[in-house]
Amino acid sequence: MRSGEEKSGRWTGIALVLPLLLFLTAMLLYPLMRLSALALHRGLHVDAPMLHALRNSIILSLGVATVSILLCLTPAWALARWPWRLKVALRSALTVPLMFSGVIVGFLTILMLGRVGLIPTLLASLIGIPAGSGAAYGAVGLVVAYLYFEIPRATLALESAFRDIDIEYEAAASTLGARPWSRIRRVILPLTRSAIASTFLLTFSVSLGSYGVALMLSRRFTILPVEIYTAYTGLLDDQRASTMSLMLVAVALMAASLTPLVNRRRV
Amino acid sequence: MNVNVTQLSKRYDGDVVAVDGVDITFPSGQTTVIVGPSGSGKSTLLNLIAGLLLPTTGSIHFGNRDVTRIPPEDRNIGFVFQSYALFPHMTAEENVGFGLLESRLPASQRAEIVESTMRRFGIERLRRRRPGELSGGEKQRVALARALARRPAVLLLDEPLAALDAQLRERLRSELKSIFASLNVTTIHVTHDRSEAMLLGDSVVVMNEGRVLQHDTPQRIYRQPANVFLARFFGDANLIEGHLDATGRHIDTALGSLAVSEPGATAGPVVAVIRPEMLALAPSHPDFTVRVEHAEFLGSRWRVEGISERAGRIIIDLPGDVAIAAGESLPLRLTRDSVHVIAAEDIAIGAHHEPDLTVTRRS
Repeated sequence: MRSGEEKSGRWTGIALVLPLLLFLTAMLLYPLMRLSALALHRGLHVDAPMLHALRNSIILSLGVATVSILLCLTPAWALARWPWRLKVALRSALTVPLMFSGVIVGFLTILMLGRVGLIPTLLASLIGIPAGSGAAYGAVGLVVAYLYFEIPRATLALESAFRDIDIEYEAAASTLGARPWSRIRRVILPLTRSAIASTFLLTFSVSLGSYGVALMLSRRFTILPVEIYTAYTGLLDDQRASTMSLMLVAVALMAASLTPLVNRRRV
Repeated sequence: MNVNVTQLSKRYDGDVVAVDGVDITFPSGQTTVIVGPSGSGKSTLLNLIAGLLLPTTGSIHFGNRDVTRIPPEDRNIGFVFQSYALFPHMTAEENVGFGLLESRLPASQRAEIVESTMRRFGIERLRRRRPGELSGGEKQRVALARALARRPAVLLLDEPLAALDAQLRERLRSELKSIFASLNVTTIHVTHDRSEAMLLGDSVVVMNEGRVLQHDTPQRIYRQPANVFLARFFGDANLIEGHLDATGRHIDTALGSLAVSEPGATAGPVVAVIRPEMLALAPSHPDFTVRVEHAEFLGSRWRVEGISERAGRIIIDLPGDVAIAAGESLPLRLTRDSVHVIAAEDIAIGAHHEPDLTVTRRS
């Protein structure tokens, strides 16, 4: 009787997740198989420019993720802890850049850092650095543009992690003689370590796949998403595009597989 | 080291006054229990003394040292939270040693103190456990050990027994009593539980609506409550209305003329506080009689609710070895020569401050 119930429960469960299974087969499993077939049907071919783009993509994403975490830790902390009235407004303002498409972000970056952008113009008139270098179009421009949407993402994710720590832990640490820095190091960071790590992975993965911004900006700094686009639509080279896509998928999957690891020891 | 708070107030936004001009001296080395209904300001007062909150006005002194604006980490206190707030990422041992790491003691000495403190609280076998693997009572002990390992000058406890089930609470209450007695630390213990206050306090501060109503020994608060709120807060009381005569020594009540235990109040309307155990059976010369409405047999005693024709409803505690039945008439006498009275203005306060004793647990 009981095992019968369990069995029927299992079938109900499978029926309920069926749409999800269909989605995963149609959108993930099948395309990945086709992609692999395309990449491999004339033998795997990897060349130096591809590896260069792969390296650039990883460096860029690691850099952006690191800078975002470092820049966002303290503001997220302040947002989580201080009883500001502006907090709600600030939080909603932060979600705005998240809704812009990458192309717009790219455009905004050009207005700031492009050949006649605000900052190069200012630098030229103030300290005589010749304008027109177009920092926007290289690695610097990409990092700045990516930060534009990674900072809000990281801030909001970290803030909710900080809010989840009971304020009494800090109070307890202070009654035990721990000064602010010691409280951060010995209580707050250990308790938020996994949240910080998963925020890092989140910003890394988003940067890795980001494409619209790079299309506007990356003229001197080649990265995988743009190279894939160029290979497919420009050079009409299916195999090249598929090979690089597989590289990108592999890195993204590696990042994704780390997420449960950092979340495992959630106390 | 005495702890003194002077004219201490805490106002929150929107003019909510949590603590309202409080003056208390907490005697050195003694245990003072702050008791009051929820919302009375007792926990806010404790947080002010700890430095976890800053007062709006007033000052706090530890001995001669003004600590009003000093952060908690520089006050040399131990604090036990209601939730215990044990660090979840550390073992019991690491929790107990947390405060010592801030000291400049060498590692070997720190380990020794942790070891001896844990042994003292009987938790040495929990050394490697994390808070998630501890029972409520074990957490409470670890929290106490953590607060005391640093040898604080002042020990502050915020409802440390409230999160435990009734049986465990009773056991740990007696344990706390002996721990407090063995420490020579100025201890301030906050609770909503009146029996806990009576048992643990060398002295008891009763608070309501941000103010101190009375600060005294448990015995005096029970016997000589300052107003009606206090009379009802500590145990049951029959409040018999009367009129204090011009000498200030006697009151006329429905139960006859009674002597006043502390003469000298101004003549006028008063109430006499008559505890249920201050009445006894008197078959030969009764002062008055009641008709029994309810009689509950509690083993060692009877709790009787009766109606007196003259004085209305009366609660009486009688020895358990007599037979009492509803409807019968009991001849009673007052077993004290004199009674405590509360003056009219304090009756008004008491009536206004009708206690709401339903306890809401802090989330």
